[in-house]
Formats: sequence, C-alpha cells, structure tokens
Amino acid sequence: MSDPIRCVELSKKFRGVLAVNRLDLSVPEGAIYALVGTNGAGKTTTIKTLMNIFRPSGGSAEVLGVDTRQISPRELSQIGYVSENQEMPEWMTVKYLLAYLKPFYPQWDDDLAQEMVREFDLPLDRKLRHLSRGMKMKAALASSLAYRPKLIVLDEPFSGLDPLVRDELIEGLLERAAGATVFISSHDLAEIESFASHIGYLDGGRLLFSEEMGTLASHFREIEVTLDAPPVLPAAWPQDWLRPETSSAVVRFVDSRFDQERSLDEIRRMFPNARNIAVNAMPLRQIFIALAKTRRQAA
Amino acid sequence: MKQAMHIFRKDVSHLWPQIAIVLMLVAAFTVSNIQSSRPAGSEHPELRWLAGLLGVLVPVGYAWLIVTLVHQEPLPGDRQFWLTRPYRRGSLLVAKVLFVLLFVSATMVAKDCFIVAGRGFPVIPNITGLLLRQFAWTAWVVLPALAVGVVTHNLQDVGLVGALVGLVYALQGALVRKSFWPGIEWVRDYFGMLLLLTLCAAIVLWQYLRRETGKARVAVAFCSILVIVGLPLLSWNAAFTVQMLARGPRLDLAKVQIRPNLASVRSAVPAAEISQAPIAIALPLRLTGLPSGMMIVPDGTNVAIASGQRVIWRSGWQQNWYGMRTEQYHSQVVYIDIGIYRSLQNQPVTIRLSLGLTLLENGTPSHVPAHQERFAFGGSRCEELSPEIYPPPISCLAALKSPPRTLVALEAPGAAESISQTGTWSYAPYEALLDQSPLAATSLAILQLQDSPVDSRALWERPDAQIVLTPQRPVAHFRRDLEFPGVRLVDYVLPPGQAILRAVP
Repeated sequence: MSDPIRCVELSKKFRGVLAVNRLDLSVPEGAIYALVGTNGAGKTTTIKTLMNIFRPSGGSAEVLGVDTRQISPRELSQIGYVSENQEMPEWMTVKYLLAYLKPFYPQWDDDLAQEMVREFDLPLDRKLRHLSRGMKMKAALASSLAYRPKLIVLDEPFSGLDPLVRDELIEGLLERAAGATVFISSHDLAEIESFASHIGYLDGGRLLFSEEMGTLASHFREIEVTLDAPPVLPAAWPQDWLRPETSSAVVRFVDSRFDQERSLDEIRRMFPNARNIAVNAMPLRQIFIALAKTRRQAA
Repeated sequence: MKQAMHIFRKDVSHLWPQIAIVLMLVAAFTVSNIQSSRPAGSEHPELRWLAGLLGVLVPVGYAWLIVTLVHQEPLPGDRQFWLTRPYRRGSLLVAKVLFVLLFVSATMVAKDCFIVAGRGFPVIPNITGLLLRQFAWTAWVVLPALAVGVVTHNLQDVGLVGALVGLVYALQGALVRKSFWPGIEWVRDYFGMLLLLTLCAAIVLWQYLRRETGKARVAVAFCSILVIVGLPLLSWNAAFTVQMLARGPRLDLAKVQIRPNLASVRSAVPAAEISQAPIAIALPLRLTGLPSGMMIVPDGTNVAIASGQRVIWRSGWQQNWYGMRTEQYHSQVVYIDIGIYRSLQNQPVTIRLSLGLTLLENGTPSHVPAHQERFAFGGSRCEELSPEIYPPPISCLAALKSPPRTLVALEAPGAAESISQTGTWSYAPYEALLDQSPLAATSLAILQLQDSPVDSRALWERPDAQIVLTPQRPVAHFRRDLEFPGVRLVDYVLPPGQAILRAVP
C-alpha cells in the first residue's frame, strides 16, 4: 500500500496569504507522525486540507490513496479525526453520541467503545456541553477509535489539558492505534517526543524538515567550544550552525547537520585555538526552540 | 436512505421542543381562523386579532424551525464534527427535506385543509389551489429559509442576514417606485415565486453538494436584491404580455374594433379651472364588433404626444384603476404631465394611444333578495354586514379564490337598475396563495355611481329590491394601437372629479 498521507507541493492560500507553501510530505504506513511548529505555522490548515475541509489552492494531497478533493464517506469511515477546536453536538450525551455514530461505521466495535468508556471513565448520561475539556477530548477520541480507523488524525489534541488527562489520552491512543497510522499536530513537544516515530517541522507554511525521530535527534547537537581568549565569530559562519552565542571565552551554537567526524573537523577548522569542544544531545523541545528562534530572527 | 433516516430520527429527537412550539402555533392559528375569519364580523373579535398575530408567528415559526434544522449540521465553517464523519451529503440533504416535508409542508397542508373544511368549503374541489398554495409557500418561506440556513452558522448569523435583507427592502422602498397592477399583479407575484424557487433551490443544492459558502452567500445576496429590487422594476408591458400568453384568445379578436371618435365629445371646462396635476384627458373612442354578453376593460394605457413626426412626451404604461363605467367603453382617460399640457394645450398634436385590453364574458346572473342577510354566490359565501345602512357592506368569503369580477345591479319590478363592478380585479389563477389564510375575503360594493340617473338608495329601500350579481370571466387579453391626429388637448380635458366627457351640443 502507498503511504497513507502524501502531499506534493501542497499549498493553501487564504485571501492571498499562503498558509501552506508547497508542502512535500509523506507519512509511511504505521508511523506516528508528529507535525510540529509554532502557532500559525500552518499545522491546522495542513490537516484540514488533508481532511478535505479546505480545498488545496495548489499542488495535491492524497489520504489513504485518494486525492483529498475526492475523499468520500468510504475513506472517512477509515479515518479517526480529533481536533482541539472541533464543534461537537453538545446537546448529545456521551451515550447518544456513540450510538448515533455507530451506524456510520460498518466496522464499529461496541466492545472497544465500552472499553474506552470504562477506561476514560466517561459519564455516559452526561451531555457533552456539561463535560470538562479533558472529558470532551476523551469522548471525541473514544468516538474516533471505536471503529479501528486505519488513519488517526489528531489536531492539537492535548492543548490545554492537564498532565494526567494528557497521559490518559496518550495511553488510550497508543493502546488502540496499533497497526494504524497516526498523524498528530502539536506544539506540546514533551509528549510528542515520548511516542512519535517521525517528525516534521512546519514554519510559515513551509516544511523545514521531515524525518524519523532517531535521525532528527542525531542531527542536532548543542556545541560548546571553549577558547583561550574572547571569541570572534568567523565571517564565513556555516548556515547549519544555528543560534551562535558568545560569552567570555565560550562559543555556543546548535549544529543542525551534526556528523561526528565532519562536524568536529569543521569546528576545529573554524576555531583553531579551541581548548575544549563539548557536544551535547538535545531534547526535542530545545531543537524546536532553536529552530523557531532562528526562523524568527531571519524573518 | 438508511443514513438519511438515521439523521432524520436524530433531528426529530433533538428538535421536538421546536416542533411542538411550531405545531402549537399552527394549531392555534387554525382554530382562530376557523372561529374568527367569518365574512361578516366575528362573534369573537378578539380572535381576529389573535389570528392576525398568529398569521405572522406561523411563517416566522416555520422559518425558525427550518434554519434550526439546517444548523444541526452547519454548512459554513471548518470546525463541525460532521465534516470529518462519513456523512453522505445526499443523505444529509434528504434527511433535511424529509423533515421539512413532514413538519413544515404537511402541517401547512393540514392547516389549510382544516381551515377550508372548518369554514364549510369542500377540500377536494380546491385541491389544485391548495397544492399551488404549498408551492407558493415553499417558494416564499421554505426555500428562502433553507437558503439562509445553509449560508449561516447560527441564529445570530440569521439575524444579521435578516437585518441586511430588511435594509435592502427599506432602500428599495425609498428608491424604487412600485405601483400595484390590479389585473396582472399576480404575474409579478408568480414570477417572484418562480425566481425564488429556482434560485433558492439551486443555492441549497449547491451548498449541500459542494459546500462553497462564499459563493453561496453571494448568490443569496444576489437573489435578495433581484427579488426585492428587481421585481418592482418589471415593466407593466412585459407582465401584460405574459398575461396575453397565459390566456390565449378563444375568439376572433379581429372583429373587435376600437377607433378614435374625436367628433363625439368636447370638453366644456374653462382652461382656468384646470389646475390639478396630472391632467386627465378623455380620448373619445368608438367600439364595434364586441360579441354580445361581453364587455371590454382597459387594463393599461401608454400615451405618446407628437408634433409632426417628433414625439414630445411619453407617459409610459399606466395601469387603469377601473374608476369609471366600463360597460360602455366610449372614451379612454389618460393622464399627462401638467407642464406638457400647459405648453401644448391649444396646439394641434398627434396622440398615439396604446391599449392593453381584456374581454370579459358575462356569466349567468344570480338574483338575491336585497335584504337577505346571507347568500351564496360563485363558490363564495356572502353576508350583508349591516343591511340597515346604505350602501350595504357585503362581505364574501371563498376558499383560495375571491369571487370573480362581478357586475352588481339593483333591480325592482318596474324600476331601473344601478350597476357597479366589484369582486376581484385580478386575473390570477389563484389568489390566496401567500395570504396567511387559504380563505379569500372580498367586499362586494353596491355604489351610487357617478353620472347614474338612478337613485340607487331609493331603489335599495324598496322591499322587493333584488341584487343581481353577474359574474364576468376574462376570455382574452390583447393590445390595440390608436392614433388621434390634430388633437387640441384643451378640447378633451376632464373637469376635476368627472369620469367621462359629455357631448357638447
């Protein structure tokens, strides 16, 4: 089977403003793909275009092998979609919601639905409008996983939730997502880092990188070079070295294309008087912040 | 269909309070109409007031129910849960249509049938009119409500659309002069009905199948402007052409001749007395070839005044208000601008007169004792409201269609008759299409006619007096163009308050 999500030069414009700019993206089957980026980076627009809520202004996208503009109820019955700002039928009780949605999905699993209701501790007889935000997200997730979708699309699902609810949701998701492809947008990097297999970084509508988590982590390193004297940054500063900072006799920067041999040679060439070179692995959050600040400075 | 039924059941289970409110309004309206819309004043006058109020609340209630229904799955926006669920758009639309058919259209039909039957009129013979009435209400209430529903997200949005439509309506009232066309107003109404039906249905379909809210909103705005501003701009001439096509002549009209008859009358009005604007000019005519039992009525006139070959002034089409005796069509009154009159009054000019005419065929007369309180006439039930006063107000009530155009005469053995024309002036196939009630109420007037030699009051007071009601049926609509050369306007001007010119010895 082809990749469950594939975008080729996908663009979306709103009144002349490009929200998504020539996006090329592939999400392999079975992956948990995290699309990260700052607010306004174009994550939600990308997802809504993939779900055919928006029509692309240029390029194309395919979901489950079908052009997004042609997505039919057949494909939607295999996609579970949960969004932080989705308008739910608030007058429905949790029980009514599940019962109402069941006939839409031939593969609906009552036992699975009941299991999630129990696990999420969902009050069946309470109306959605009377549920807390966390409970609403749980209800939305339960109603989107009970038919074992092939593709689960989550748009900022953990935004504004307390850590306990977040953990419950992630656990619930991971338990039931086995075999499914998950596409999740978030700026909540700490959680993403713990379970995403792939990551893409979107900024200003452009995808700056898209790769496996392990590869990404190995590409980014925080470098600290200790010198004999106060440093002067070389004029020919490599583009891949981000966020250079200097203090007394130390230079710090982020190498975004780190390679053990090549990078160390390059550092020694740039700083022949280096007394010490420290190479530190970076958590996703730090990588994200470094990238975001670099982009902001460049803008 | 299975999915449509599933969505339909969900809507019914959620909207039952709204359904109940609307059904209560409809039931109250039905009862109040059966009780109060009597031809001759109600024994429950307070119910007439209530019926009026409910008459406004019922269509508003229907519209509210429809937009609330559509808003269960709002079409504009990008956050609705149903957009990412396997809804089939066709099923969604079918579910909404089913709901509207059951809780709006069917209840409308039931309401009308109950009112018609409750007032003692038969339902089956009126079924065509009742169905046409549903068609009209679908065009003017149901589909516009659906169209507004599909481009809005909530009732606040609907309020905004309502305010904008109200603004367009107010601007139209201020900027566009709309005149009422007695005979052919129905053409404008029916045209508006077809326009709304087509445009609103297209908007609803488009939005459900394509969900392109921006374009659909533009279409709603265009449709509103077209109907509110465009319809009043429809020309009388075009409407009369539609009327001519709608009722092709069933007789040879070539024999019906109308010619200028300038020698027959002259005005005796001193020029100094003419000060009113516009100036009424009576152009003398000779009518020949009219089949017996028929009458001719001018519906509209168009006058051009020319000097030599040069046209100096045109009136445009003016609708006739039938304010004269038309049973003897020997002159046609036209109105001209006072400035034009003053500048041309003594100079010979050519008047070109275009006429839009209708032939009426007299039916079988009905004789009713003049002081009978209640009587039936032409499918209507009539009632003299106050037989002791003169002229007696007579009110008639019918299902869907007013009594036909009727010649009303007073007769008594050995006495002359006094004639007026009354009943509906409309040539519409059905009239009470958009009224709150399916019942059409009309007043039959018995008037002391101007210029009549008969004292109709004295005639009325005789105990053996009879009202003679002769229904008239339009059988043909046609045009005639006449030219009146060498006319001095001053010779044909009508004195103020006078309807015809008399021959000057």
